[in-house]
Amino acid sequence: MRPRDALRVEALTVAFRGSGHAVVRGVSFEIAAGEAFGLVGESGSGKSLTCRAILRLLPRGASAAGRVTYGARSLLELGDTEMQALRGSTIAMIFQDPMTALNPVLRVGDAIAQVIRSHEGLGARAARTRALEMMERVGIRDAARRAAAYPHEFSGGMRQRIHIAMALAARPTLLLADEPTTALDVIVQAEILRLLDDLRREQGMSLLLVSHDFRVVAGLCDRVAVMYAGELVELGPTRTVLRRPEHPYTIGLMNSLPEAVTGERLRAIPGVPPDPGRLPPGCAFAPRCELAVDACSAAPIALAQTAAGHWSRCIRIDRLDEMRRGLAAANSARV
Amino acid sequence: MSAVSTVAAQPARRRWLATTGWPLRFGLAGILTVGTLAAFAPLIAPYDPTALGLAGGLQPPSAAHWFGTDQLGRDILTRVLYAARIDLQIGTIGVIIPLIMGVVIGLFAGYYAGWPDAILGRVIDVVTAFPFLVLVLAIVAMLGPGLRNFYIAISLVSWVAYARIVRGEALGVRGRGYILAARSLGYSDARIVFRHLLPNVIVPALVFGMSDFVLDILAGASLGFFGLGVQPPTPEWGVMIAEGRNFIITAPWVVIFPGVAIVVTSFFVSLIGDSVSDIVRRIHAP
Repeated sequence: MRPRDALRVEALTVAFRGSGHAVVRGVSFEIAAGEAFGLVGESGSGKSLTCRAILRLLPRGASAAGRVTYGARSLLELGDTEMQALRGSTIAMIFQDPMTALNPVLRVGDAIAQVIRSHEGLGARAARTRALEMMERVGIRDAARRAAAYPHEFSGGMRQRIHIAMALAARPTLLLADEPTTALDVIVQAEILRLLDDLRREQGMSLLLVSHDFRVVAGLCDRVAVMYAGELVELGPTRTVLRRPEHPYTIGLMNSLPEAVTGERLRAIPGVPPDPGRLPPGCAFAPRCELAVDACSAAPIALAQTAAGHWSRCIRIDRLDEMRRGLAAANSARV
Repeated sequence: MSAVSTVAAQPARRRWLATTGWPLRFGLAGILTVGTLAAFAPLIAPYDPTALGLAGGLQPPSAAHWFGTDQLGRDILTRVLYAARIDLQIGTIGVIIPLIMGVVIGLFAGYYAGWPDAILGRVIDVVTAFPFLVLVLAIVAMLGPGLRNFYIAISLVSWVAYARIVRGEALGVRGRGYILAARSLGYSDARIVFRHLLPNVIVPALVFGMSDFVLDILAGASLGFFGLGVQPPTPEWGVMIAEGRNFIITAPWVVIFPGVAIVVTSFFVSLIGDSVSDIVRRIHAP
């Protein structure tokens, strides 16, 4: 097995040239070797850009600052060729939409074999054998026959399995999964998540799982970070964050999960996230927060430790109990 | 969805035939026939293409000379058959070289966008500002007549059409998920461009190539007509028409048969091009 490393992201900032607006602002976290780490936030909070910044695959016009290290390698400073060699073989990524992530003109078996050949210099035959193994491993029955099919001949869930097989074909040690199940229906979603979890344990991989859905992250990740308007607002062990969230936004996010059992109306967070060009001076969430006081909007608020390994960017944590009570009611109804 | 699975369940060969109608098969058969006739011209043709004075000049079609003879008494059937070799070559080479040039340049411009694309855009504007034939004629006039210079001129002028088509397609495809996914797998730019981008953008260029084939034969004929293309006595359809134009009233067969040859060949090639574009459209819009 390859040496496993820790991913360390320090003060990562992603800004767009031209507008100069930062969409990821001073994000720091660490993923230990073999750890599963979740990144939760709504659309536009900067989760995907954080992932893409790690692999240096930012869209045109966006640039990253800060420090990202994987083991001894500083990813933002690596040469282009070294970075390219690292992608796929050491750090791989899977994307949200399996409908577009597969090349429509490549047979899926060839697509998987191509990853293996380009990174491990294997011959066509050996690469094909490995590709078929990989297809079996991600749960595609009759792989030898299905390998000759094109992506359009597969269902969404099957395509995501193939996409996962491609990402893992060269045995990466860190997998960035950007909303891997968002485009799938709930049942397929659960299957894909279980598969990801099994593969991660089997290969001893680290996982960065990005999702807007707390439930997706809850089942798989050891630790979780919550992102809002480009910043981490809370970070802690998944279990603790779920039981005792320490940030009003986290509570709001949990409340807004649809729950068929309670029959209650969805409790959405009032308002919309701020425009990256017009961020409030203090806490970015203050304008939508029911606990906000003047001090919240006075100056930027730092992440503070509330318990061992549990951090929150909130100065009103002593007043969170009331908000949590509603959550507890919903949670108990859920169980 | 059920339609897709039934199609998928069929063997690949039958699926391919099911989506192609008679025009494609007819076109392919036709062009194959023309090609065979051209390839075996020395065996099939009844006379020597440059032999003068056979049975006198400007003989109408007869049992001995099915297509008649021209003003120098050469057998027109023989010359039409031999000319097919030159004209198919003009069409093929005149498509392949610009196709490769244009596709490669268009791919990279479309993939990288930004300044390489801006430069290409200006070059395309400049080249397309001139009428196609005028530019080809000017370059040939500069380099001197002959087939080799004709190919150079065609390549210099018509690659822009391919580059423009491929660039447009590539600009659209480069933003697709699978290109980003390919980058995330650590593929080199060259691999992404040629293995992932190319197969997704090449078809419109190939379809255009089919009509360009016809255009090149016509350009070759026009240049031959002006005396800048294939040099007599080598038979070429355009040259034959040019030489026969003085007798168009008195001996129309001199121009009719090479003219029919151009039309028929173009027809077959167009059939193939149209069918291919139909098939592609059907696949892309299920």
